[in-house]
Amino acid sequence: MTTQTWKEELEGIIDDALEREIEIFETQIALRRIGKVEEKLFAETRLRRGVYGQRYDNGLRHDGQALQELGYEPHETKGPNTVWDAPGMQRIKIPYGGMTGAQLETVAEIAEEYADGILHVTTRQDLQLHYVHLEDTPDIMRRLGAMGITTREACGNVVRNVTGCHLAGVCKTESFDITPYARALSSFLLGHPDAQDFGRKFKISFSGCATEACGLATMHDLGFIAKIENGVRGFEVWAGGGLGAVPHQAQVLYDFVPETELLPISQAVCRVFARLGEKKNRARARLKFLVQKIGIDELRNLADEERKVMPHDDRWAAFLADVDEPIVAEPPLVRIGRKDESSAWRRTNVYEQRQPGRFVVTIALPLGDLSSAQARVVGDLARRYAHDRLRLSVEQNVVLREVVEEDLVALHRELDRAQLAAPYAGTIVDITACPGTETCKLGISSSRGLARELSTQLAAKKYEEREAVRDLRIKISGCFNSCGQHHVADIGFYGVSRKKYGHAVPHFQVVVGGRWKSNAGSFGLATLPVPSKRIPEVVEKLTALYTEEREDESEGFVDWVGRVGKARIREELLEFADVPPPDVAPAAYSDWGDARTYSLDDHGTGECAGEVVPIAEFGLQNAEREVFEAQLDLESGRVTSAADKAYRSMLTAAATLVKTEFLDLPEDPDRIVEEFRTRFYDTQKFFDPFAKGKFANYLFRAHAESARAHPQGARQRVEEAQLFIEAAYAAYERSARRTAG
Amino acid sequence: MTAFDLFDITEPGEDLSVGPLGSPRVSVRFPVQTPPIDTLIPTLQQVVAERSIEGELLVDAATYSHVPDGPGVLLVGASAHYGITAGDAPVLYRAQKRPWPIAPLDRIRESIRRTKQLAEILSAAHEDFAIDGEHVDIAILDRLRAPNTLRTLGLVAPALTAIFGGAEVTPVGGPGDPFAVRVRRV
Repeated sequence: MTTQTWKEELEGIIDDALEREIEIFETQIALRRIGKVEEKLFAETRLRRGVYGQRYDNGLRHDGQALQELGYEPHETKGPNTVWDAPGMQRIKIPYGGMTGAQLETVAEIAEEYADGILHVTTRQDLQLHYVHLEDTPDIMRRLGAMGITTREACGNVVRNVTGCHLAGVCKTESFDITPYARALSSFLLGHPDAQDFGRKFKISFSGCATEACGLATMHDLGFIAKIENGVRGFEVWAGGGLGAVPHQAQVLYDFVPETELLPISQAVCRVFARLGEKKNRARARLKFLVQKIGIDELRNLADEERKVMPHDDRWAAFLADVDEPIVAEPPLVRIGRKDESSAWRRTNVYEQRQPGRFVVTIALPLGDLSSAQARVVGDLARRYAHDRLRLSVEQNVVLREVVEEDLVALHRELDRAQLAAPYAGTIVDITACPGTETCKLGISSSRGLARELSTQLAAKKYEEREAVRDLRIKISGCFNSCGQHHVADIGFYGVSRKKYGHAVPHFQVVVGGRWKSNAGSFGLATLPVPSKRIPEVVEKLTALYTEEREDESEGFVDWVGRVGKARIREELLEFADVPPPDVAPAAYSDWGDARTYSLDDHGTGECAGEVVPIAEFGLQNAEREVFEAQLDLESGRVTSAADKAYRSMLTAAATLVKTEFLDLPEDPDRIVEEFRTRFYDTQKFFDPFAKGKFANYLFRAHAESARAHPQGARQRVEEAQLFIEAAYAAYERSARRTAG
Repeated sequence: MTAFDLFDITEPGEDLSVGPLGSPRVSVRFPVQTPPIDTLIPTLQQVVAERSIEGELLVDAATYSHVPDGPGVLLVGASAHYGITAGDAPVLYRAQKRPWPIAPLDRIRESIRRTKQLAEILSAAHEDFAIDGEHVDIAILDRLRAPNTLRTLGLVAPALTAIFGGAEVTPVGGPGDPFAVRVRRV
């Protein structure tokens, strides 16, 4: 008999807690479908499961002539201005980019069945699948969950994917391997109550050293740089960094935090951010603005104070027992091969590890894209050549590590057969780009279209072989939000639009002088906007000028920019800024890779941060979901379960209210009821104007009694729970009104 | 004879909804001759704008021409995608992604009809675009209902042979690929 659902198929394989999470999400989808969850709240709920909107999901698309309705049923929505049936994006968190071959193969299958057959590697080591339908996402999550992958908190105002150097553990310049620390912090903060009530997203990164780029620690909300002091492992901690429209370089929060304090200090910073971070104005809600407002010293003081009062958590140190585990347990592989020193691929795509005779092989992915068929090849190669491990890099590539020298030729041959041996990893041809207008609701110009064109042109002219410029980084964002990390590129671009002759023309701001090395050591500055179609000429001119004018080989591009000055560079690029009229140069009025006349009329509203939904609203929604499940149990005759779930829904609602005053409320039901009685019943805050304390008594009685298993008692409890939750909502709203003024 | 000659579909005389062909995620693929696939994008944009494929809610045209062995250029739909791949053996395909509340046989029939409609549009706009082959590949993008196994082949092949009037049905693709067969008129 064929299994009919993935839920049945994966029963016993997927972790029970994770399956329960996915069931809850399925219920939330069902509740939204019948209008029982408000769309703003549902949007943030799905975002926290990595289910993101995509361009045209408002049902509108400009066809080059006029704005067109695509024909969706407009009344059903999955968020504000987001049509239910419109395909969207599924983001998959891959902490520090680390995966097994089998995990990659599973994502490949999912991409093939539910998406468009492409796995997209992001600049934060996530994987993204596009054109996915919301109702397929629970099964996607199950299949990923069965392989130990979660999409939880991949989007939304939460701790996003924790990134880390893709060379961790094998790098010649690292202090030590940050992998177990990144893994531990990622796992610790996933779903942590202290990291649920942010006004905006929170990004964390780990770097093994201060000099290289890979960790990009200084452009994150929290960046950790590995450091050893007096023989003790720890981290230099940077805080308040971020790109976006207003880039901020992080500042040193602590010169040194020992490894034992990594988790508690991070938790303390999260608590401070949740408490004091901006909640109303999204544009100023990142940690960088809090640091700007109160100063790095005050953030440190507050974190230290918070650290002193936080309840102890055994997990803070438990992971340290595994830190010294070797990355690769198996003995080295031994195969017959030969050196191929002349290979361009070997020069650009192969890095010799600090472990003698071992190599890291980078697979350069054009625009970070990998087809399902290629992903299966990479998974297989990882298994055969790299101890079944691979990593995604922030430059949107895949790396295989621990490859023995004797295998390099054979591995190259197999990669070449799968057309995965492009010899330009980490060079000027290896361009980073965010999704831009192709799929992002916020995209202004086609970052991928430009990257595709530039990469083709630069490769054709063998730029990756030109000594002066081959190591330059080009990074492109479709808008000012910086997902393409243009601020830290030697030459960066971000999409803007300009009106010319009454028509919109796609442009890119030219940003020069960012420093990729030293963990994104400095940010570049915008010089001037140039029409998209003339950007290749900009790159050609900038690289030619630099090659001609650099003082010697030691003067890097960023140093040259600093020496000649922004005004001079702007002057040099002015010749590209003009746009001829549409009848003279019609191509200027469309974007790269898009035949339509350019328009921003179908520009959507971003979900980058999601809506700011107070954590209490999630708690109350959970209570509603639980009582809904109790009703379903009742209908199915599962009366004991119904009564129990109804009681638990009241507990959830009560705990939610208590946590608005007392964040560290333990999960213990006795304590929840006690605190609820003291804080909300005795003070009459929970009292209904007419029913007074009646609804609270439903909870007190249910808590005092054992579950009533007979149908009538269970039905009554379910009804009481519904009323209790309504009263909890009312009490919460009264409290919110009082707080507002 | 071209692949379109296979379009005369007959009732198989058995209930297809309980087996692998009961999955809505059916994909049909036809070999084609094509110009460089990026040159098809303006036509695909036009197809979206003019809603040229009857019954299909179309969303956008996209290109993955930079990905070797990838999905090619795409016509993205709310329920199904169409694509034209590059490489040595280019194909025009349609892949159903969402539930489709019609009979399994009608899904195949309708998938082929809509794909043929797109092929005609592309042929009309590009003189070097043509269906070029004598077979159609049918894949089931559903590893739950149609794992790529001999058992699935045993269930699917007789049904397709019957549907396509005694056509030859042979498996295609590697072990990691989705289940797919080639249907060729004998």
